[in-house]
Amino acid sequence: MELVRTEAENGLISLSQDAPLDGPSWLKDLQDKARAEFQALGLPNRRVEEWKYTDLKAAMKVAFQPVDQGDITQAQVNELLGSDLAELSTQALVFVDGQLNEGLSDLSVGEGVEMLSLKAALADDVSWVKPIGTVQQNERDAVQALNLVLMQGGAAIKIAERQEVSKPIHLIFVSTASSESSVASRLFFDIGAGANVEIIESHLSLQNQASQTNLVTEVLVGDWAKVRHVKFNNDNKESVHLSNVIGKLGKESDYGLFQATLDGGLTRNQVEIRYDGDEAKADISGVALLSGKSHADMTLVMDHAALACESRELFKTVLDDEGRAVFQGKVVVQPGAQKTDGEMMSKALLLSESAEFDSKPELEIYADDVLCGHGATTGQIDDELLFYLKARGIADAEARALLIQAFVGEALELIENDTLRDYVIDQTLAWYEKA
Amino acid sequence: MAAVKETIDHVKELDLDKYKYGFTTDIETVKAPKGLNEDIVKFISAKKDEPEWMLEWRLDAYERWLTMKEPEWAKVEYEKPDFQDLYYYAAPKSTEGPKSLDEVDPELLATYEKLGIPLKEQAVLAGVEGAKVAMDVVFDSVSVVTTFKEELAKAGVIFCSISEAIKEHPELVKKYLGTVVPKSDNFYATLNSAVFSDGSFVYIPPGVRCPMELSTYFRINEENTGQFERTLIIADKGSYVSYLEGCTAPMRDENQLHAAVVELIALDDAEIKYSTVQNWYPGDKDGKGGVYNFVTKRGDCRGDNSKISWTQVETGSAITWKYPSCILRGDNSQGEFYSIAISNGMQQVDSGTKMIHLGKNTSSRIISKGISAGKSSNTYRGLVSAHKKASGARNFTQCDSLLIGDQCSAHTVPYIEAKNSSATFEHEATTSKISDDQMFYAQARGLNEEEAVALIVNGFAREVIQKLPMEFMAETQRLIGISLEGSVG
Repeated sequence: MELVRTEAENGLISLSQDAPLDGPSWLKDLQDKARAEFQALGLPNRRVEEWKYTDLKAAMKVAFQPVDQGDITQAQVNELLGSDLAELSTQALVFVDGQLNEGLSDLSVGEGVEMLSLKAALADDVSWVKPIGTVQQNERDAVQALNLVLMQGGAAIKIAERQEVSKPIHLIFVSTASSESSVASRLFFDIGAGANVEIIESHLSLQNQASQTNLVTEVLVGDWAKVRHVKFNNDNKESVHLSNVIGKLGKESDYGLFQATLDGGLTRNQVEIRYDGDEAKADISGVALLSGKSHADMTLVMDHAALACESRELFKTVLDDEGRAVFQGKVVVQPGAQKTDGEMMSKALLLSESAEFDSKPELEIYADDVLCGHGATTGQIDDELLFYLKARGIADAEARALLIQAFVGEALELIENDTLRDYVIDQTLAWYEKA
Repeated sequence: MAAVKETIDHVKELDLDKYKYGFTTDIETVKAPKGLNEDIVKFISAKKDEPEWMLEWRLDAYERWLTMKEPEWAKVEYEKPDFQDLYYYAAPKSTEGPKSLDEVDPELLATYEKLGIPLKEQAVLAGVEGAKVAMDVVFDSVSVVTTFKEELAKAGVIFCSISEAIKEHPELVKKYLGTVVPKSDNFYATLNSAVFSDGSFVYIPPGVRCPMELSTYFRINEENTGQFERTLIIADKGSYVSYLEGCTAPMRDENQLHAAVVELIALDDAEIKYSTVQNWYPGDKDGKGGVYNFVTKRGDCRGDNSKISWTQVETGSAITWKYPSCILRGDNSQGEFYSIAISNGMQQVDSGTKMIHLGKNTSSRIISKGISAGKSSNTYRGLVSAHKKASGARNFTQCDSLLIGDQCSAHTVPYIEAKNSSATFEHEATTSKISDDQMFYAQARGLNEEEAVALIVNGFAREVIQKLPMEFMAETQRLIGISLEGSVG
């Protein structure tokens, strides 16, 4: 049967003929495989179960071209970040149009921390980056395959055993293109046993142009390590943002990921967590506030393959205008993964008649001594609560904003870093005011 | 606690042969030649003396079926049936249709007696005094007898086999058949449309509350026979009917195919309550034999303020693929789905429901209790959707799974689609095992392990059991015990 390819698919296939990064032979082998995989799979569409509600093939009309690294100053970066984030004391790495900008980045390494640009790490064939491209355990995914071939840059960060990293590592992705552009980046973290680190990711655009981002983050969390990871994106309304966070958790480790999505065009935040060591914990949570025609998809797989692990997920979505959100969360308990404790909750608030929320919380359980549950709710603002506030003299718009704030607040509380939490709260408040 | 005691007693009574309906009946049958082609469709139609329009309907379905593929999305693994190696029609031999019970083959009557199904009108179901239940009995491909017909006719209720309805009430059949499950709805429904042999037809006229429970009992007897029954129930404006369905099959080494279609239509202010106790042969402990139960059941709340309620107890079948659904078309209509699905041994169940909210202020409720034991796999798969115009749609879903033993698996795959902001959907699911505390509590009070499990499972499924008509409640509690036998220790 002849495959009918879309223009975007043809564009991506031709782009993927050459890999922008030069790497060792093990990477080339993986890339050859990934290239063939993408050719066989094409862009995911609604016939692919995991992409049932996000038809990328239909949504992505053309493939944008990558651009050369543009110019941007520290002041411009700070302005984009806003004062709260800019003043937050972090160790910042700035990626401009997909490339690590060493001038803007703080690559000074403290004790027990190694930071390399992905380009350098691969060119030198640094031994500890070898798991790149193989942390993923799940089935073939066209977007991940594409990233492996098309990745232009990124970073590889290694934290030594028992290392307490004092300042959060802030990864700032800025697009400076004055026209449509595409960016494919990859981050690789190797967190040593007992280490403790905080990671912040911001995605910003200087010219507010449409972009196509394909980001893959691979995280190896060592035994007893603790990682806090916050990802924030606020893309242009014509943009496509495809993110994959793939984590593998060691014994008694603790990984927390919080993702906030404000508007944007088409956003897909996909997370795959594999519990490799016993008694590991993960909390994957987030909020999505969508207006206009924004579409955000939160897809996650919590794969319990060890004993007595814990997973917690809490997602809050607010939809206005023609906003559309998708939540697909799957908790898998592999045979023998006894004493698993999994709880997943997804709640959506629909503010407008034309908004749409589709959710598919799944449980796939092959062990008996487990406690797993999920909940999913969809609804609108409770008239009685609104009445209560209005009866106390609060104007309608304000009362609504208050209720929305209370609704997402439960999830925002999960951000441990105070400054960061306040920042996200401010951003959401600005969103309500607009809405 | 009487019910619990009963369960325990029944569990005790069991011998090693767990499936007590596994006997076969030696009875002379008429069969169509093996295999499926246009001639077989014509043969079935001719055998039933059907009018031309019905034959055309079947042939059209057959044409479409040829172009379709078997669905593969369900979480079940099985060897696909060879559709050319099946008999599509098997009927107990009789010259003319029996006019009364006296004319029914005594061998048949004995079979039903053995199954505990009273066919004599004066007989009542064990333990339920004074309850009258009208029965339509389907043996392999044909309906052999329908009881209480006259009494029902007095109330204006039509209760007969679908073959008879096609001949006697063509206007009703033509008007409603295939309007809920279109003839090319899915692979098995299309196959059924082409070759359905019999089933029940019910019409309740406006304003009538059906004076008794209606019931159909399905039995597959012949070897290598597919049973394709078709049930059509129409509740006209303001009427009410409660319908029960039961099924068993002999123990055979081959897999038997059961592909039924059930269509329910509720007009304004009407209510249909449909209860099923499905106990087809589940196969032996190694997964050999057993019934493939591929069923399409759908109800259409066509009128305003109508209500359709599905209650199912699924304990049998090797493979179950079944999603009784409600289309909530009328304003203020209601859909309900109460289910207990028990799987043991090598059974695989993929079952659930669809609640499609189209009208205004519609509501639905889903309570699903899955219990998996042995090496079985038990999946709940459901869809709740609110159309753009379905303002005020309301759904509550609860699906709980209970795991017994570490070789079985339980899955939950709900799809929740809200296209309307005033829709309020709540979904919750849990998976757990029988806790040691519960077991200890029960055992400390003198119950042995198996009794304790039966007690706890009965408690787990109570919310659904209570929704069953009384006639089925006792049977269900007993079935739960039987189905889980050997799952502990």
